[in-house]
Amino acid sequence: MDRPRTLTAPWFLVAAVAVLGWRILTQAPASLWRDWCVIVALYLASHAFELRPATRSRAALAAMIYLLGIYVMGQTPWILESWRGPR
Amino acid sequence: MIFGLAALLLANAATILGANALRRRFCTESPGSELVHLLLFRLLLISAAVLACGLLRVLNATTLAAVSVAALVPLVLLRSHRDLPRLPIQGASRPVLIAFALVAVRLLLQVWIFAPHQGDAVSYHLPKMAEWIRAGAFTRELGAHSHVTFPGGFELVETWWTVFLRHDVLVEMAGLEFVLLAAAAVLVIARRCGLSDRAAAFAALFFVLTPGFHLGATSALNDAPAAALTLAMVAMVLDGSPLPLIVAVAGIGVGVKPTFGFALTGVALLLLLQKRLTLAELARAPKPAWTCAVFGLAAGSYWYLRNWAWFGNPFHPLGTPGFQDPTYVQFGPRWMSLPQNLASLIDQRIYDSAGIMNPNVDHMAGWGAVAFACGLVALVDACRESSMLRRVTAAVSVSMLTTMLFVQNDAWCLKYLFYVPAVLALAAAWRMDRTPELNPVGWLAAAFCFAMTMVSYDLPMSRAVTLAREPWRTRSLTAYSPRTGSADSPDDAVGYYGSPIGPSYVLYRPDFSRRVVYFRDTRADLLLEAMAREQIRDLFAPAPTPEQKAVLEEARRSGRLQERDEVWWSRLP
Repeated sequence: MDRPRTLTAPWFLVAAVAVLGWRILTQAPASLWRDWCVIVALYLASHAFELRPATRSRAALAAMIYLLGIYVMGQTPWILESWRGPR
Repeated sequence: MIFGLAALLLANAATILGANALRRRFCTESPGSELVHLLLFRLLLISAAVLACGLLRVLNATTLAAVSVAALVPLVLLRSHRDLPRLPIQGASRPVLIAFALVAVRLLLQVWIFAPHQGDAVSYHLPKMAEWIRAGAFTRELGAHSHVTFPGGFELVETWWTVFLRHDVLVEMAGLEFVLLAAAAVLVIARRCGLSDRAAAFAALFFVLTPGFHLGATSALNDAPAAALTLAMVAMVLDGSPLPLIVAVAGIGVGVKPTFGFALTGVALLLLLQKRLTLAELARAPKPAWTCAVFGLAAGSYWYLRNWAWFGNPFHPLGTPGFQDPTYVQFGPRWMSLPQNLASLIDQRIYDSAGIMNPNVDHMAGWGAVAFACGLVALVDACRESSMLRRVTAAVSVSMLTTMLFVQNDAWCLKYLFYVPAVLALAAAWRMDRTPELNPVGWLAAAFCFAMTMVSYDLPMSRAVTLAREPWRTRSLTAYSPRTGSADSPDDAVGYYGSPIGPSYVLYRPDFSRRVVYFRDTRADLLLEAMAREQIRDLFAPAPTPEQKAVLEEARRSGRLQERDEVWWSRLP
């Protein structure tokens, strides 16, 4: 395994802000809460700060659960339809 | 049937032992990559055998069994059965092993229960295989669809699993070979990226459950095999496999699906990054290994050479002046395709929320919950900390962008990218190995993917249950008639005069006992004459084109053709 290397923290913030700006400019405001780029950008932004590993893990856990919720919401009705309905 | 089954077992034993002998001859490999090499050599042998038999007009169980027995004797004497690679699952945790077993059992059940059902498969992939098996040779007649002349490398493997029993009950086994190849390739990539054995197994499981890939494997489509071959090439580059073998896989891949070629840019980048494109590297390759490269390239280029000989265009019908494709395919690069495909992936399709999952991933990406929920977040950390994962991500990204440049933004354009979620699976497994608290999310996402891949849009649960209740010998969608549920014709020879994208494969019956004649006449009298000449009474005409409809109407008015229902027409004496 490679030795972990710490990149300069501000770049994470710059990248995250750039992604957030792009999404805010190009997506409908009402859909931003479920935009995966926004979630990943927020997670990316957390890397700009010195966080304890446990805190970073919790941030990853929160981001993953949130994204899983978005995914499950979108696909579950279709799964149920494929199991249920004759075509 | 007993003979067919025995021949199938013998032939598979011969190809496995033959592949093992080649592997031991040419590969100095790290533990784990033996299975990748074995499966690729087996694929090469199967392709060569079916190609040779098809060209020599001896494509039948007897010939293949005889060749297999002749090969088995020296292979056993050479002790090729020794050192067969083990499944590279050492170090995998018990829950992962149980999950793998569950997925494997379900895949085998799907192979057994599913009859070919997917639209593209029954309209242009499988009709050519049915013609080959009926004729015992490669044929000029390949079906009605405009895409029947596309490369048929995957159809060679499907023919292998069909010709011995002369029945399509095991045709989806061809797809399963590539699931195994992809899993083994992801394991190798994972280990080369520094993942522990435990995490590598997790990554392989995550990738195998990628919905689009998984459903594609049991739908007789060639997108999943092309993705598996791309991943195999990445694994071989990282693992230091001899360059000629990588070239051989490139040849096979281009013969399976032309879009595979677009992914080669990323593989080339990885070769550069790994400093493997050097004269020393070329010199290191065993000389006889170049024979494999020649065989691989020959197997892959056969389809293009055949098209060149038949039509004067290796890519026929693409690029043919005046050709209007009912299912348009972009030919060559187009700058606008790249941003369009990228935007639709990022903005919509990655959510997989546009409909019931299916192997063509209509308006979706088919990457699944693990890639979306766990992989995207984990990739941030993985790329930050692992230089090898960064390299693989860069290579796969280049492959993805190249592919997006060459395919138009239609409903199913992202099915050419089933190898991309492998990077997300690797990242997710890498992250979870470091933070076990994340494992429950990974398992939940994997379970969701498992649920998504029970059945597909093309074969809903009610239809799958009905198929399961049928005897395997007659298990087919023929009985339901693909469009209207009308009764099938009782005749052993029928005609096809319907839409160029119609499901003509279902007419052949699962044991290929029925002759199908494709009519292309543009006048009613010519059509009726041709039907009489071929002794065809019933005509299957689903969704005819306006021109075909006019011909059918004219024939009906003449009193010599009767419309039986929406899809069947009968010639009157």
